[in-house]
Amino acid sequence: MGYNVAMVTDFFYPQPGGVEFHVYHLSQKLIDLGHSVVIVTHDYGSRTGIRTLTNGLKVYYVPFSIIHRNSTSPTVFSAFPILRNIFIRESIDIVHGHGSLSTLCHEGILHGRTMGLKTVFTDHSLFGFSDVYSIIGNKLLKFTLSDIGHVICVSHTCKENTVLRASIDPLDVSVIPNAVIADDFKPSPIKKVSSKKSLTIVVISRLFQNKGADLLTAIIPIICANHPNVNFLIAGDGPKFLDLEQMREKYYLEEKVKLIGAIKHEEVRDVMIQGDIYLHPSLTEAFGTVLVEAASCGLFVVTTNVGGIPEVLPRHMTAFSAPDESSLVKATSNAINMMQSDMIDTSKFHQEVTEMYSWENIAKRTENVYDLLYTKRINKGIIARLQKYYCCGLIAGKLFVLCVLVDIFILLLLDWFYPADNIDKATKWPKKEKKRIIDTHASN
Amino acid sequence: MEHLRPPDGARHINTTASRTQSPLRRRKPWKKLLYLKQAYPDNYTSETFLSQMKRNSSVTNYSYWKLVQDFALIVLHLSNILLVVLLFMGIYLYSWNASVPTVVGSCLSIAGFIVRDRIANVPKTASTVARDGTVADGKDVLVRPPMSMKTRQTPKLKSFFLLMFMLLVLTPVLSSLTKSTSSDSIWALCFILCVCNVIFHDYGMNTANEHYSPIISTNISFANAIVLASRLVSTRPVFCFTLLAVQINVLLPIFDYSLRKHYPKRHFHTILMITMLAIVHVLIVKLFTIKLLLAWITMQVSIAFFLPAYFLFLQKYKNELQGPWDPAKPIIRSN
Repeated sequence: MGYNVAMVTDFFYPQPGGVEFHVYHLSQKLIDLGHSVVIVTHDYGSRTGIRTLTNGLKVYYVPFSIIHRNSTSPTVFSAFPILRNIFIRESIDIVHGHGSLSTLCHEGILHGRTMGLKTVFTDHSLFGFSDVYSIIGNKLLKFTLSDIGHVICVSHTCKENTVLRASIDPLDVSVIPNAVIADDFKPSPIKKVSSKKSLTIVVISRLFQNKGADLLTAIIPIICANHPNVNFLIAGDGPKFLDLEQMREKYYLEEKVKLIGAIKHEEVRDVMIQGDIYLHPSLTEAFGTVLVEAASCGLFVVTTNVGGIPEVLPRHMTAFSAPDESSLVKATSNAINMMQSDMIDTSKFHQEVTEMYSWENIAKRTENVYDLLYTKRINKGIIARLQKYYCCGLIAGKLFVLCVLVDIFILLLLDWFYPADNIDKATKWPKKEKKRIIDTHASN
Repeated sequence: MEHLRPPDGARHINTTASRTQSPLRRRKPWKKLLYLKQAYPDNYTSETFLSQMKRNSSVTNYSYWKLVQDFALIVLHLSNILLVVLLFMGIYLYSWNASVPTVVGSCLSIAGFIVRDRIANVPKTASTVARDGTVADGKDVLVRPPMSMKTRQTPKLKSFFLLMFMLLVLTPVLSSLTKSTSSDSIWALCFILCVCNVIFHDYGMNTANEHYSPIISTNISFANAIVLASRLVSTRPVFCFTLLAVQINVLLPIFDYSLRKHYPKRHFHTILMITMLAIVHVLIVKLFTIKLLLAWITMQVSIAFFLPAYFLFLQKYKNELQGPWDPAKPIIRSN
C-alpha cells in the first residue's frame, strides 16, 4: 500500500533551482516505489491549474499572489480552503513541505496538522541567527515545526542549524542528502591526453557575494600569474559579473578567462566537461549539489569548507580550503600541480558518485521517514497540540496558539459549508502498471 | 531550551536504536559524512552534534563609563530638540525677539565652521588643543578662531550662506504654509517629529567612522522647524526661527561630532554639553516651573546613568550562536 503524499512548496518548475529539482526527482522516485504524489505550488504566469507530468505526477499550480522571490504572501490562513480541497480530493495522508522560505509550505503544514494529517518538512538552506530577516524567519519556522511529524535536512550542518532555529528534538530530524542523476553528468567520452599541460578551471555559480564571487575575483589574477597554462571558464550571472569583467580587463586576461554568463541546468554538464578542475568559492552552502555534479563529470573539486560542504565528497575528489584568499590560492595551485603531474585519477569519479548518490536511495530513505510517522501517535488532542505552540515564546507562544485556534475554527466553518463528502475524489493514476514496470526492471 | 545542548551521547544512541529497530552490535564509529552508507539511522544524533557551535564569541564587553558617555549623547540630542521647542514657545507665546538668539547663533555657527575646518585639517597635537582657546558661552561654543584659516574650507561656509538666502526667499511661503491647519494638529505633528528625530538620529557613537551624516534626523529636524515656524505671524520671526532651528539641530551635532572625533579626551565636548544643558535648564525655569525642571533633570540622569546600568545588566542574557551554518567572512587582501 502506498502513501498519498502532497509535496507543498512555492518553488517548482518552471523555475530552476535546487529545491525544484529535489521535489521533482523525489516525487518521481516515490511514484516508482508505489506511492501517489501530487505537488502543490503557486501559479507561474500563465501556468495555472492542474498539470500532469511524467508518470502521472500531478502538479497543482494554485493561483496566489506572489510577493517576494517567488514566495506567496504570508497570510497564514488564506490558502486553507483550496489546500483542504486538494488534500481531501487527493485523499492525502502525508503533507511534505519544502523550503523554509516558502510560505505556501508553512501554510500547508499548519493546515495539514489542523486536518489531522501527517506532516514532514524538508529544509534546504542555512540561516544565521543575527540579522532581522533570520530572526523573523526562524520564529516562523518555529511556529511551523512545533507540531511537525518529522523533519528532513539535506546535510548534518543543516540539521544542527534547523534544530537550533526551531528548537526541536534532534531525533525528529533526519539527514537525507540531495542526489544527482549521474547519467546526466557523465564525463567527457574523449580522453584529453594532449591537453594535460593546459588546464581549464570551471566555475558555475550565481555571481553573488554569498557565493564567494569576491574571492573568485581576487584569486583569478594570482592563479593566472602563477600558472600560465591555466584557463578559466566561468558560467553564471549576477551582480558581481561586472567585477569579474573589470578584473579581466585590468589584468589583460581576456584570453584566459572566459565568461559565458548564465546557463541552463541542462547545459551544466556540457560546460563542466570542458574543464579539469571545478572551483567552488562559496561562503555558505547547505549541501552543494553542484559539487556532486562536477565530481560526477570527472572533475577534481576545489572548494571552501563552509556549511555542509565538507560532508559531501570524499577527500580524494576534493581539496578543501579556508574561505580566504591565500588558502584558496594554495589549494587551487596544489590541485593544478597534482593534475599536471597526473597524480589524480579522475576516471573513476563518475562510478563512485553513482554509488554515493542516487534518487532511488533518497526516496527509500524518505519512505522510511514516512513509515516512521505511522509508528508515532501524532494526533494527541487539541490541548497537547496547543501546548506545543504555547511554549514557543512569551508573546509568540500566545500568538501562535491564537493562530492555531483560528485555524481550527476555519476548518469547522469549511467542514460546515463545504462538507468533505461533497468533494469529488480524484482518480489516481493507474498504479499497477507502474509496479509491473518496476518488477520487470528488478528482474532485469 | 534543554535539548539545545549537545545531548548526552550514551542515552541518545540507545533511544535511537530502540526507535528504529536496528540494534547493530558492532558498528563502525559514525562519521559526519553524507557520501558513506553508514549503518546508522538517518536521525542518528551523535555526541559530536553541535560540537562546532560557538556561543557569544563576538560579544564585546562594555565599560560602564564608556556607556555613560554614549548615553549622554542621547541626553544632548534631547536637549537640542527641546531647546528649539522652548525657543519657539518663547517666540510664539511670549513674543520674544527672535532676532537676538539668531544673530548670536549665526555668529557662533560661522565661528564653528571655521573652527571645525581647522581642527579637521590640523593634525591633532596637544599644542593645538591648547591654542584653540574655547570658551563656553551662549547657545553655541564661542571660539576665538585663528583667522589664518579661511581659504580651504570656504565652500561649506558658502553653502551655509546659500541655504540661508534660500530660506530668506522661501520665508513668505513658509509663514502661510499651514494657515488652514489647526494649531493642535501642528503640536501633535511636532511631537511625532521630535520622537522620530530621537529614534532615527545617528548619534555617531563610533567616531572612527569617516563619514558622519545624520540624514534622516536632519530632514526630520528641518520638517519640524518648518512646521513650527509656519505658526508664527510675520516673516521675520519665521526666518529667524527656522535658521536658528537648523543651526541647533543640524549644525551643532555635526560640530559636536568633529569635536569628539578630534579630541578623544572630550573636554570640549563636555563643555559644549554642559552649556547646552544649562541653557535648556534656564529656559525651562523661565517658561515653566521649577518642578518641571526637576522632572527633566531626573529624566536626564536616568538616561545617562540608569540606562547604561540596565544595558549592562541585560548583557548577561546575550546568547549569540555561531557555527558552520553562518556565511563565512572571506579574507581578501586588497591589492
